[in-house]
Amino acid sequence: MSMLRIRPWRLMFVAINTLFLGAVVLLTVYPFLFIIAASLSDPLYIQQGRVGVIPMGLQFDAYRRVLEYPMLGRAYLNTVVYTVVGTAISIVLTVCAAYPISRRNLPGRKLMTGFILLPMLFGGGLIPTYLVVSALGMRNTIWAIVIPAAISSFYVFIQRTFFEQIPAELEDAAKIDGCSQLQCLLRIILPLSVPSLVTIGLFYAVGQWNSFFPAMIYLNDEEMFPVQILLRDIVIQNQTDQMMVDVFDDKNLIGESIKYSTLVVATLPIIAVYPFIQKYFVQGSMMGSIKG
Amino acid sequence: MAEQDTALSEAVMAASRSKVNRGSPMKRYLPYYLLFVPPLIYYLIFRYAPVVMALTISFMDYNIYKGILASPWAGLKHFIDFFHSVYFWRVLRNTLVINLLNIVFVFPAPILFALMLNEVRKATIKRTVQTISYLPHFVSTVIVASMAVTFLSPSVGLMNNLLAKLGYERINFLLEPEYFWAIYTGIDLWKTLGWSAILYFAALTGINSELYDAANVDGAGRWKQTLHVTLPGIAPTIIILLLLKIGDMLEVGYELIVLLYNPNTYVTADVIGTYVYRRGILEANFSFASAVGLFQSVAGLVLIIVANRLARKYSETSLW
Amino acid sequence: MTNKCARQGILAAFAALAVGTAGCSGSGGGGTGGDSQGNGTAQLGADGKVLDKKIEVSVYMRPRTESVESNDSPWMKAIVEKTNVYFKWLKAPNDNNDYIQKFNLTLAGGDLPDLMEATPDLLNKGGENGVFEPLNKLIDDHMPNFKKILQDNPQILKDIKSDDGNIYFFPQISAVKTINLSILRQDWLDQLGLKAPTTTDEMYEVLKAFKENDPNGNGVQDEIPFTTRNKLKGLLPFIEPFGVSLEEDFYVENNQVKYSFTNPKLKEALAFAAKLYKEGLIDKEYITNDQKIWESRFTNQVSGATFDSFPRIEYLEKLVAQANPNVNMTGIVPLKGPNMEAYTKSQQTLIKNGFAISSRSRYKVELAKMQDWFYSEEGQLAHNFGVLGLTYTMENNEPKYTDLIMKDAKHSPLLKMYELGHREFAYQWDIRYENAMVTPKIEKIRDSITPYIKDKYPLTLSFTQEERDVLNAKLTEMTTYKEEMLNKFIMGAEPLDKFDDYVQNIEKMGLDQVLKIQQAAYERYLKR
Repeated sequence: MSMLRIRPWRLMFVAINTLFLGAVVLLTVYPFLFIIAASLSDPLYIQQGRVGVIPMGLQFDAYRRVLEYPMLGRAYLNTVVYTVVGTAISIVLTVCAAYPISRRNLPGRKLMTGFILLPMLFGGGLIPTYLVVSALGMRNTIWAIVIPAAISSFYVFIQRTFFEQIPAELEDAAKIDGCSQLQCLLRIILPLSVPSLVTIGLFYAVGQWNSFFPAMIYLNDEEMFPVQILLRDIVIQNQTDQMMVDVFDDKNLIGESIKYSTLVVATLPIIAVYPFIQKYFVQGSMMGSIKG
Repeated sequence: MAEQDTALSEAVMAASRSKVNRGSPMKRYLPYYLLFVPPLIYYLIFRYAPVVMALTISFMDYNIYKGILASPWAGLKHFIDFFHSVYFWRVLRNTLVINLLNIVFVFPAPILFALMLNEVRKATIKRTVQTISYLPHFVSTVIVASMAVTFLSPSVGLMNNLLAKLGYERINFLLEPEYFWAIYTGIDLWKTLGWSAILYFAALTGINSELYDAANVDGAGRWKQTLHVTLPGIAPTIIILLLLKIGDMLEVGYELIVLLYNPNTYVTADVIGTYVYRRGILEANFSFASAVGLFQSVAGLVLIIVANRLARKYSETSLW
Repeated sequence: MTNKCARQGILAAFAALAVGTAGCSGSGGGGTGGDSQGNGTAQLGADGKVLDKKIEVSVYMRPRTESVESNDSPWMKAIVEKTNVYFKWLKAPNDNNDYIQKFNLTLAGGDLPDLMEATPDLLNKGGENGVFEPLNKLIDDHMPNFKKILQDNPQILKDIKSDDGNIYFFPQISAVKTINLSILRQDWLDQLGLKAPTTTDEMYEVLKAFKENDPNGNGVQDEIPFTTRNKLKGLLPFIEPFGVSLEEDFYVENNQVKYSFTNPKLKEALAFAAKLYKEGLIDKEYITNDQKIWESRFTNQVSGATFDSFPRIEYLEKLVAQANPNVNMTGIVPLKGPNMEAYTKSQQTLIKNGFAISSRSRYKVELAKMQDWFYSEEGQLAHNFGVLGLTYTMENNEPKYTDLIMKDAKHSPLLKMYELGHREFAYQWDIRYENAMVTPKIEKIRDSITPYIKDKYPLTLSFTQEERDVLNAKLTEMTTYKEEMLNKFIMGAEPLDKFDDYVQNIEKMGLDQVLKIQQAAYERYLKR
């Protein structure tokens, strides 16, 4: 840090940077302040377009109603289980796929890479995938949720790129010390890849947390439903113009606030996880920035 | 970028390629292949088998009640149908334009954001900004669309209230075809900026700090370091992501568009995805949907092969 | 009115209001149920249960967020114990498209639940392909109550029969035809000394007065007289009076099937709508309005008219009352046009959804017997009114909901019923059930619309695969094009001189072929 010499261009850069990041933060954060304010506001004011970032006609009824939802606790538990199990499977399989194709001199590497790339471009679509999952008897089990989407080729390529960046001499040195390839992966490569594994793990975890479609089509048992299905039910219900919903209920009055409070309730836990994970990035970036 | 690599990083790369040869090739490589077996099985069952089915379906008149085995063949019928549609060129153009806009505006934004944030020295600010930036990723499309409609509304929307305060006419943004591309790109940018940047943050973390030390010793300033160390450090990630994006040139998800478009903006908003959604999914014409999907995939494959060739020619990174 | 209906003394009054053009079937309700009493009991087993042995069947049916799916809920318990059929509910999505998607997938996956709910079209398609059991024989052998309903109401039979002559599903039979109508702020009318409009001209005057005379009294001319959340279909009251409806893609003239959106009368209708739009009498954002913005028009008190479903009269009234307690909403009958008597084609269909039995179910006969009980008087009471003593009482032979349903602190009657386990299986809706859902004022308005409802082009036509292919290719493109153009005409983005070009373009897209297919399917329908 002491090396930093204050120069005019540096000041100008800091100013521009501050403006830029400030704008990003402002634009990102405004809708969220709105969501939180709306979830706490009297729906009448939301409808009149008078709610900005400060709640108007403060109420907690919307939250109370969402939390009263009988299946909510169960659904949370399911989501956590699917997320944890799914992410673990995903990371293991992704490493299994990414590591071999990151070895530049492995015979057949090109073929293996192509094998993983092709499915990114060619998708089977809904029906064929459904038929495969059904044929394997996975319907209405946790496996239908965590297995069919276990590997994303996209993340395999990201992970491969990280593996490739690890200097080969580290590995070579380990091998000279008598490590087998697998030991080498476990002891040298993986510990060095923590930032990328955490990143990819987070991507998988968030994907699993936010996913509702597999649950919707494969699960029949309400006991097994994740939170996102409830969220969708509540949000969609307040949007449909079916005859049935036309019946007036005081629930309709608060519908707009319920929509936003549901969003907060369904999203908050996974967002809360992030700061804990982020420390892995930060450690790394501190290392980088300290040299500035 | 590659040409500008410092001598030092060249040396590191060269060293990394030195080989240690021990044992027979089979013994050396076997563990790698064994490692690859579980993903191989996964891909064969959950990715390749469905694709084979889908390919078959696109040349059939698939009847969901009868199954693939009992459905009649239809030849190229669904492909001809699609190419001869009066809307073929329109949806193709819109798809390509939206994707080009994405590559020009949405794709580079997270890189810039990551680099800019990387220059911030205070860890707490850095962390806070980063945490805030990924929030939009968590908002479901239905809510995003609903907020967009509210914010853009001529009568009650924030945007128009601003315009009105500044003395301009109120504009019905969602009703005028000329705004649609901008609106879509804007929402896309808002939703993906922070989240996409995570990959670049991780890549920045992965840059060997010795390279910065060396650059410092050489007397390189901040700008030069960015140019010669930081950018080359994240270049592989950028190139991989760009290549994959190019492979997706013919895809635009239908979900957000379906929620935002209306007959008045079809002319700019209707993309292949929405067209197939109306004709293939809602009408349960799965053969048609599969056929169009096949067309998109083949076109994507061609593009990605060309792009990969270019990447290999001009940089160290490529998909294969 | 047939003799059957007239015999039902208690129901005559309701029937007269609600039946309208549909004859006896429309009033369904307790009407047909009463006739079958004798037969119904004959089917019961020794212990008074429908089935001797307890069975469990899986069912896939439309849910609501409030649905309580349990055999132990008060509402279902009585039904389950009576029939000896225990249900295993497969959780289905709420959203309509999601629901159909999962329905299709379940069919494709092969492993079907015993009983499935869907639209008549989907069930017939599945039935014709062997997925669902043909019911004709089961009806003859085991379903005296249902058979009687079909005999007494030929229209129901026609609507549920597939082109191959089989019946594949049990229908939910509705009791009310009215659905959408023009809704106005009566207090604004009163304040401006206006009468409820009956013609297009009067409507124009009313909307103009709403715009110019500041009925919300804020001193600014900020009124948007007419708004809607239903996009183009929300403008129906300005189109129909000219003799063409947006409610049907096709119409029949001299036994010829024709396309509604090339009807020459449409030009005049669009001209009227365009005039209203141009003068700012129709919400300029009508295409992009969603539920939320639509509601805000009313809570902000800038709009005084809309076109929506009848329960929304009360809904909007309660909504606006938060801002202005003096609000008074009303619904009006369809408008007369320059050369047209008042009518509307907006309606609830006689058959809502249906339930089909999987062709692989082990319990076909049992399910037929259960369904028959659902259609019996006892079954209808159980589905419509729940448990005697708990959810309803009998006064002078009339079922009446108890305070548990009608005076719940938190929920409207319908939602309360759902909370107690009520589900919409296949049975006849009772008009008294419908009436309990709305206030007497709404009931009156609802029934005032019924006589104006004209049958629309049948929705239950069926097509061969080749026919479907052509429709899918041509009609989808025509639909895209006409939606684009109709809105442009109304908004003035295309001048109406271009109307003839527009018609020609549609013809070029293969209208002939589409009409030929529709004609054939329509004729098959008539022959059912």
